[in-house]
Amino acid sequence: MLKKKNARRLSLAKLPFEQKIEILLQLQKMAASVRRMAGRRGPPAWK
Amino acid sequence: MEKVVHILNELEKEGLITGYALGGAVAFLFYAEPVLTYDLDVFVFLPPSSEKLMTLSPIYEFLKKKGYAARQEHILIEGIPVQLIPAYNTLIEEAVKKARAAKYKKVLTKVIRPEHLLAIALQTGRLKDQERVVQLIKQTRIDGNLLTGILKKHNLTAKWNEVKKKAKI
Repeated sequence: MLKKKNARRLSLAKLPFEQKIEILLQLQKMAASVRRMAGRRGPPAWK
Repeated sequence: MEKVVHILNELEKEGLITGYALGGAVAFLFYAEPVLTYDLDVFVFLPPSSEKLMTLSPIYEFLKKKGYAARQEHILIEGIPVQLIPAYNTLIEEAVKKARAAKYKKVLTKVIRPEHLLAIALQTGRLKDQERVVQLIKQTRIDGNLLTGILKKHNLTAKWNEVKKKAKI
């Protein structure tokens, strides 16, 4: 399982820059919704 | 993000900065897997000035006219908190000078090379920087000769050996 996880991380690292920025935006949105549910505020996601 | 790169190129064209390169987490992201970050660190060269103190005021004024406001240590450009950091030591200066050209959606920009990113992370030395060093080593191709030269020049070899030992790499 660890091997698979590392392979996945490596494949993410090889993605084009634009695609990685898209993933970053998704991560920011996910983090914001988790914070909202916990009643906390934090930095807004990029537009 | 595309707009930010445009603005950085515009700042350079207008002579408000004489060079720049993307650094920090976004530069790491260029070479390694995406990790959560909220700000965009940009290392800049400021034009020579007669003032003894470096000032970002002309840049802030220029951006203010475009509708971008300062928020704490950042300037909010199209919703992205951008931190312009004047190159503050010889390692950063070298990293900006030797930054590699890259494209973001057809717009040309500059990103600090992984070997310099690694050295900067070692120099900064926070826990998250050490994690980034390990991530870079595992996920991107590092030019060993270039890295050795940078580490020697900036007295970072001992720190490098320490991190390597700790991370078993």
